[in-house]
Amino acid sequence: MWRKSGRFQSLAHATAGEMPAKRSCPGISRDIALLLLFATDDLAAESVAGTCNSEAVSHHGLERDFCSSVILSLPIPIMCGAISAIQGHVLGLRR
Amino acid sequence: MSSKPESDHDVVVAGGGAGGIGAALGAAKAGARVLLVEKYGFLGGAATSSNVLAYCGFYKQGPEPVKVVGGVADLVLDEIKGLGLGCEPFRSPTTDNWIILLEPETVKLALDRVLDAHGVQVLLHTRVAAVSRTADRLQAVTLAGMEGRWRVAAEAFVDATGDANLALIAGLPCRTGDDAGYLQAATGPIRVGGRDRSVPIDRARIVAAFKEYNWTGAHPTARQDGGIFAEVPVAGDMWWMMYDHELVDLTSKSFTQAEMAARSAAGDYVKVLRERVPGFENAFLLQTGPQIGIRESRHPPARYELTGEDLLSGRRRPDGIARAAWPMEDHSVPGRPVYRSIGGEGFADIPLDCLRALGLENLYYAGRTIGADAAAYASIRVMGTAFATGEAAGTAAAGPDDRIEGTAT
Repeated sequence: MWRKSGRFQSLAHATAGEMPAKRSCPGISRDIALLLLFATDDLAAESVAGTCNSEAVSHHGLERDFCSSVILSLPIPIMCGAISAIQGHVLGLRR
Repeated sequence: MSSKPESDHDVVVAGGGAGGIGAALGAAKAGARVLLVEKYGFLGGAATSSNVLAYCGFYKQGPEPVKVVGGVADLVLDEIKGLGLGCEPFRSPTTDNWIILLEPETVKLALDRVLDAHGVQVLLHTRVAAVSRTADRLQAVTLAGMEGRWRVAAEAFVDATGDANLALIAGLPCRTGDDAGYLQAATGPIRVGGRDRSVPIDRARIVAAFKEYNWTGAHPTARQDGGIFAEVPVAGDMWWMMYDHELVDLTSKSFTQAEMAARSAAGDYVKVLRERVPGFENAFLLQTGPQIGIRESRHPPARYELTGEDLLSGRRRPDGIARAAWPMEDHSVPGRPVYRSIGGEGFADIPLDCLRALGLENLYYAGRTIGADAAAYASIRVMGTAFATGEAAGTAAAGPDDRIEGTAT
């Protein structure tokens, strides 16, 4: 996981107190921006729908359709990163 | 060994200074069950144990304060602010560097609260006494506390002890000081009470007084600029860094000598102020730190050592996880610090491999234990940077690759 540059970048921005996703995707919600902080680029786009049904999305209090529309509107690498972040968060909730 | 049953956590953090606080919060925010152990009865590291009443490393050098450390460090600053301490950037008139001045009792309370709010279990008066390990992983630590000794297992561990105590106990080969074994000088900051605050502190008079003291005094100071001083926020007394001590090794004997010499010097120095500097006629020694300020001790083996060249060039890198912005502040010669600025954008990236132990898969470093050569170490050791490397270490410790990797579709 750490070999993927996205996770490094997310942590680098986190420790520096920055929100890079907000710069690249102005207007999206803070929750989505936080998810995008963990952008990686190696997940399949097909899992978007399933991920948007996840408990993580519910946990963030986001509407599923809104979340789907935001994610689907993003460039594929960023979109996939959002999926990865949500999945990681689900794991955190289940621990 | 006590009969207390073994407990387990996801992450155990050894050390409650800035690096340990960052690591505990980073791991907790990532969903881990975190235990932090601290040898003193309070948290805060050098800020509360050694009278280092300034956070360095939060800002780049320059005419304006540009922040480079945020994340969980901001949680700490917000908590401190909530208790009435401003935390505004303050430009040191001696060095031109941006710092955040502190008042230690506020810091202690704020750290208690911020860790509690994030579900971190804290054990004060507790040390790591032993470890259990396999060839490439730590399995558990044996803690020594008020009730004896007991084992705590965890998935990952963070050495934020400053002195690499966990790595040392785990059997990793540690380097003392620089390549030649020289240690950065220790420091004895003090607080001076009783000053007439209506009289501005006259640096020229301090310089002249100590020029004379150095001829006959028992503890001549190499600082010829009057030292670093400021008014302690809230409390209003004077914080003063004037005494440095050459630490020859890491033995208890050397530490004892350093502590006693620093105390003796503190008494002398305040007497000089009282007798020679206007406004200090009624001054008294308010406090030395619970312990002398240690700038450098052991360096455990890391997968990468940040280099002075990395910092001089302001090197950015794709595997960077925190930013080093404090100038390389070399104290090889006691009392004569030499500063070298960070190049590039005014900061350099610290890669994750600086935080990963060489030889143990699940041990991470935070704060001044991270991998760095002598030049880079003179920058990354400061508390602002330690919060950032701590957060990264805690996050990495809480979120190992395979758990997240395994969900990929």
